[in-house]
Amino acid sequence: MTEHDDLTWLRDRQPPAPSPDAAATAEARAALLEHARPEPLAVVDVEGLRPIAGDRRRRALPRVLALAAVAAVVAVLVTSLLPAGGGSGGGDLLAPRAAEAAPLVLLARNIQAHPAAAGDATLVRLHHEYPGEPSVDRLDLFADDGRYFYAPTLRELRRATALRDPVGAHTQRKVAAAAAAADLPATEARERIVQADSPPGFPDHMGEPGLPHADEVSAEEQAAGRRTSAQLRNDPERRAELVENVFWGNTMDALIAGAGRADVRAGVMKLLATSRTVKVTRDTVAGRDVLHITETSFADGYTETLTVDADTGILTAMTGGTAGRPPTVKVDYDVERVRAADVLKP
Amino acid sequence: MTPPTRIGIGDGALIARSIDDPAVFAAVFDRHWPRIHRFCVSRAGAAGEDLAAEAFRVAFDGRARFDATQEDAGPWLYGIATNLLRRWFRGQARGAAALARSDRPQERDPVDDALSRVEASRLGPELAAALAAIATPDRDALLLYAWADLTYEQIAQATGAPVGTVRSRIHRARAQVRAHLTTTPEDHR
Repeated sequence: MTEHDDLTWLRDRQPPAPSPDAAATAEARAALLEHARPEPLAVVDVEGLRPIAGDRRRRALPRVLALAAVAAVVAVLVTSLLPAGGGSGGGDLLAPRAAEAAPLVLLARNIQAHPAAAGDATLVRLHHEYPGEPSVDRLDLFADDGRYFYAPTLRELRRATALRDPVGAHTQRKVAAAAAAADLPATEARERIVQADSPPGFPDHMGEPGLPHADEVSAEEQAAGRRTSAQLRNDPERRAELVENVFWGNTMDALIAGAGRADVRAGVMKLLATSRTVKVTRDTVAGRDVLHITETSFADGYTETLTVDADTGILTAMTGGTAGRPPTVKVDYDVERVRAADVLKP
Repeated sequence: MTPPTRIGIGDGALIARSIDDPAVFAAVFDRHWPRIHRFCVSRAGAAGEDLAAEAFRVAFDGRARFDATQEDAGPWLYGIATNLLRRWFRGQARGAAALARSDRPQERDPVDDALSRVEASRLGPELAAALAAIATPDRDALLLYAWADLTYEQIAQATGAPVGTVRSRIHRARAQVRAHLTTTPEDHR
């Protein structure tokens, strides 16, 4: 299989979506315009002295009720899925779970012993290499206040505007979860970083969506869907793998976005020390002592490895690929603690 | 009454104008409805049509926060649509009572976002098997890349994730799909 076969395979199997017909388009447009119509002045119910609000969600409300009716019969799933590696709640996050964890626990302590670097932002220079594709160089600036800027060069970074996060400041939540890990029991710390990707309800500025009715699919399709979904949900190994994948992705995101902050790096090392599927090896690269931290929980032999400075925990590289083969991605990181105003000033 | 929209005005300018003149937002609908509709219907079937319409209503309500200097509102709309799809799939999986509780952080769970019965039905057995073990943020990024033809930068705008994170997610998801295709006999995919 070549690099691009998977994309072709995915595109070939995209479920068909006929173009919207004129009637559906007209209906959706009219509904939007109706929604956009200025709110009428409230009419006061004199007897009850209650204002009667304009009905801006009259189309959506029945669907919410329909959803409730349909969904009420769906079995509520088991909730807690955090793997046993997180402990039983209340355990010391610094307590080594196994020999694998020891280097990370020691590193976390070492990071905490360093004085915090001055500055209010983390500047990350990245060099991405993907076989068969042009390499990519980019700078990311993560300000501690949550603003995020990116550009190919420092000059362009100065002119960049902050990328807005339309879905709930995910990165900020991951960084905050990592920074808080030091003071939390292991289970809670893991849970917080795992959940950092799920927005807490719908963002205020998006309003509460009127969810539509359940799809009408054939009995055969429903049965197939049930089987696939059940296979995933009822297989402890696959469930644990999925949770671990989210855990790994979120800790990695926190380690990058909070790379300049010692509290975040220490928290990430403590979090990774709780994982049963993370393997740690020591090495020397370009004369520097490093740790290779490898996540092994992905299916079919795929692994990702973070390389961090053995003294500071600062990320220097990430590789991904299947064991025994050349990496399919390599990213080099150069991290600097800075003042955002110094980087962004014209 | 709203004057006809001039061709060539960026989405940001249109959306800014719609703050004072809400009907101008219809021009944003006209530009983006076919693509958002296609993406939502592709992922959620017939319900996708309502989700696409809802995405525009949600966007209208949040238009004051859209960056008026942005030429293209497409990534923003895809981001809202993706969020709605995720919430809808989660709602289908958990039931209304559990959905109501999902606003409490301690009730959320990555497996709630994993392939639900409805999503797996819609995708079909081949795709469902290939995508089932991929974490939802990675899957969302992959499908925005493969099916909506967004660039890494646009997906970053859509999902609020750093561009490097988007690259990593898509690479990881593609690696998992490739591994699945490599290890699964063709007649069992």
